Amino acid sequence: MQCRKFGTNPNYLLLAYVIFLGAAENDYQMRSELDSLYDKQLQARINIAYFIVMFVFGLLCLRLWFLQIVEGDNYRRLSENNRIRIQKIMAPRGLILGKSGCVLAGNRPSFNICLVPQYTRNPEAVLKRLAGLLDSDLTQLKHRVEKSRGRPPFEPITLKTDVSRDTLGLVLTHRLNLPGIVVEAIPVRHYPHGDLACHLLGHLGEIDRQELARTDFAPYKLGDFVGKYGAEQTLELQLKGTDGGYQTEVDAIGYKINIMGQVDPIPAYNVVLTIDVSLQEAAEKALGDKPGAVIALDPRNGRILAMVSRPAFDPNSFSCGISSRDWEKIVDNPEHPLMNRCIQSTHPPGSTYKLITAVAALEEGFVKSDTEFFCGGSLRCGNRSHRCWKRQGHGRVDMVKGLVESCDVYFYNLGSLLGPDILAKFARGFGFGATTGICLKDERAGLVPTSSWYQARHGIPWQAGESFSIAIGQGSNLVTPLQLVLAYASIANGGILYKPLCVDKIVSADGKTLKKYSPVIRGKVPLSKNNLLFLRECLSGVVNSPGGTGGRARLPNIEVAGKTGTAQVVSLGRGRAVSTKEMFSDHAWFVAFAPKDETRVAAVVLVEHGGHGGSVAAPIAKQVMSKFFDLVGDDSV
Amino acid sequence: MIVFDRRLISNFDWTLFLASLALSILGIVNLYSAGSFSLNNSASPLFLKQLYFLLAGLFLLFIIITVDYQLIARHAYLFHCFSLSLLLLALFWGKPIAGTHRWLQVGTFSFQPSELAKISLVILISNSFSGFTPPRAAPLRGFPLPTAFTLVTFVLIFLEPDLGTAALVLVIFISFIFFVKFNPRHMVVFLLSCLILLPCSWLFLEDYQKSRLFAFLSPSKNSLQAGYQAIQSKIAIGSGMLFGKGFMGGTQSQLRFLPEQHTDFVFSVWAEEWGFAGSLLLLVLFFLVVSKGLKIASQSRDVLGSFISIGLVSILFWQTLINIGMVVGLFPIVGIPLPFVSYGGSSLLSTWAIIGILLNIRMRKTVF
Repeated sequence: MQCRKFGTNPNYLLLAYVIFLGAAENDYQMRSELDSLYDKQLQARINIAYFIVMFVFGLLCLRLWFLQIVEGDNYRRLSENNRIRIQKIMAPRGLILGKSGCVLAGNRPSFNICLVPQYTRNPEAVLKRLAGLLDSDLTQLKHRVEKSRGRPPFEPITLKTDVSRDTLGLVLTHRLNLPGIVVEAIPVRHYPHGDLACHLLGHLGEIDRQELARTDFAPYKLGDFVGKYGAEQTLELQLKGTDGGYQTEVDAIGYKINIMGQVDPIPAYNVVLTIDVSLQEAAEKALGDKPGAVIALDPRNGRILAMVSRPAFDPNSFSCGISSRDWEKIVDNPEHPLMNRCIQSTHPPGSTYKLITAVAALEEGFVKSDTEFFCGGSLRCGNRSHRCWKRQGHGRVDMVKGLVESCDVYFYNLGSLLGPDILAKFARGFGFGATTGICLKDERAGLVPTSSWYQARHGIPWQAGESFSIAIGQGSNLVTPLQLVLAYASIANGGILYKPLCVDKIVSADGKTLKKYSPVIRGKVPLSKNNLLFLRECLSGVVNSPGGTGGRARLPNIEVAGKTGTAQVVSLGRGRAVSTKEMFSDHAWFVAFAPKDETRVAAVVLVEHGGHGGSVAAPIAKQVMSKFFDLVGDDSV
Repeated sequence: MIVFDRRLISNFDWTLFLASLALSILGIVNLYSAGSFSLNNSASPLFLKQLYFLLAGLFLLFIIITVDYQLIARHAYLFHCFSLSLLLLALFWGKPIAGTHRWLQVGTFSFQPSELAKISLVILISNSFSGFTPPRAAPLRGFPLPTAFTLVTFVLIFLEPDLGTAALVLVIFISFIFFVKFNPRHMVVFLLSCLILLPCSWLFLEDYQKSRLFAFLSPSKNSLQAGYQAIQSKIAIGSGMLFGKGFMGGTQSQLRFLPEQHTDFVFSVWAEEWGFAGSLLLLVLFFLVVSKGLKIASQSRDVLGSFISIGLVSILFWQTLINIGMVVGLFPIVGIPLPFVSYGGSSLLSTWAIIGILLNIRMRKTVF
């Protein structure tokens, strides 16, 4: 009855819940007759439920009685004198191996001195004594303890990492005077070859907040070490094992009484790289300490055999957390040792780019291989004269001579015929202007200039003079050494552009191959078979013809094909305080493959501010390739 | 015109109310000890926050008892769909905490929609089941519909992931089956779907959840994190002995050997500091609440009221049983809070809402 007035009576809304209370009551039905028939059944079941509940609560009481009364003494003892401790057994990080199985990154034991606050009444005095023994700063130790305030007192606080065996002996002999001081042995990353292939291997570092937030990093905790660079970083999840641990009962000063349970660590996977360690060593030796890069790879599948970037850093210095002094030294170095020049330095390719210009001109039909231009030492464009590197000129030049002697004027002519956009199309076809997809972070894409890019960048239309520059690889083109060697490798292998591989396979700790990386084809370069064979001949001429610029890369029994490049440095680093003459000298390039047919190796050498490609870079490439053929012998693959 | 029924007041179940209040207050006292590690660095300590939530819970109770439960049940579907949409919201837009999407942020207050969902689900199931009590023939829609809603709720909570509450939803549904007669064919379908769902759910389990189950099944082998919690909890409870170590005197909790000591393992803190006597007191209070709830179920004026009380009581019963069973080492470690005692605003509010609805049903047992 009341409910009918629901909508009409405004008082209903005003009088809120009191009215509601009364109003809602009368309108609902009572238990119907049918319900009451069911009632008996329901009542019976509720009674059963009541007894079940009673029984269950009785059971809980019994259990509590058992724990607290029967076993109470036992548990009281456990809680008072003893502690159950959970101790981590760290799973050693997976190994990184060379192609032949030589260990490039392994683990070594490291001893850490820790303090367990629970076991010491007077931490101050203990720290003071310890500081004397370790010969270290007391305030620093105190600071470490202070930082861990708020953590449970049974958790060890690391005071000093990676102490020497002598110090360890000293601490252990004074153990009785150092209550609460314990020694932890943990595996740390070790690179037995020092800085060998350091840019490829990478280094570790303490996990940061961003990484902790990653969902696939869920098992990681603050203070863990993760790969921060190179293969260590990209293969982190394969290289990381699952930590185990055991639960122990320890006595009042922290020594284990008995082990209550143990979970074995799950070892990580090992990673086998495609790197040939001997070749890598030879390449590093050949480059010396000049800043630059060397890459050797197998053009038939894109597997990288050696990858050198200089200057180097010592990855071992990162394994226990790098000291701020060492870090500053690396960061402040003007030559950026942490930069992997193979994939992160972008420079104009110099004359090595003439190959692309030649391909574009041939494929688009602007010239034939025997089309000749005259080189008188320079070519005018507008009111500016563009010089050839050879001042007296090359005379009549066809494509063979143009490439072999690297005649700039010949390519100025091609450049003005092609214009930027056709050249860019072919450059992209050879993989320039895009990352190669190598499994290392922060690879750079370089730059392939186009007329629209130029308009956007400079605000003026494309300048005809620019076409001259880009045709010989100067100006705004930027390439990485890896892009360049892959482009040349495609000439060697018949036109296939491979994705570079630096990981050969992932193997489990007991040696089973879990994943084998097979070659990945990124595409085919825009080049016909005939033109490809012709250009291969030209590149061979660069090294083997009498007038060729790459003569210093000649090998006695093997026909090497290649191209030199000298990238002019227009200006370097705006606002740099010191600008020596060295900083304005040219970058030397040499890129090659051998043998000319049935090629087995391709290599690129970049020496920053090294001078001429033919005189500086070519001999380095020669050493790398001759080492390669020494290693493989004459018949093996 | 408006008749206020005095029996509403006279039927108020003071025992249930006072037992609940006692549990809440003991819980806050216990939180003062369990949360003492945060006393000096937190703006407002846990026990104080819990006290505010208790006041809010009492206010909620006051509102709930004014509205006839039949009116609430009429809108059960709407109500539950609202809960489900909150669950979805939390799942996709919620604030992730430790990789889980259980929380919805409203201003500075974040709450768990799953706490609301389990109550609305009980009302929904009761509403459908009360419509076809035997000997009336059970219509087809009476069984599959609540089943479907249960499974959807289960899946949504499971995906958050909140294994404990998800399991609770299933257990509540199964509890209902005990009280309702079903067409046997429907039962077979239900059991089959459970059989299919269980192995599937294994695939969704996170590693830590699997390891917890393993730790329960063989504590000596997989003793690491999960076994550690179980053993530390047993030590805490056992070391309490007959009269406990005294308030704030529990070494296991004060030295923070106990994991999650203000939420899931709050009972261990209590048992350590107040001993067997204290634990017994809590158990008696819980038993009082549950048995009063069952009494309300048997006395309600209609089957709907009986079913709602049964469902709500089963929430309290199972949560208490699973939580205490877990900390005393009878059950695997799943994250289910202890009603009234564990820290948590959503949990406390929903528990008081349950008490509110129970009182509501009880107050109207003789209203015509």
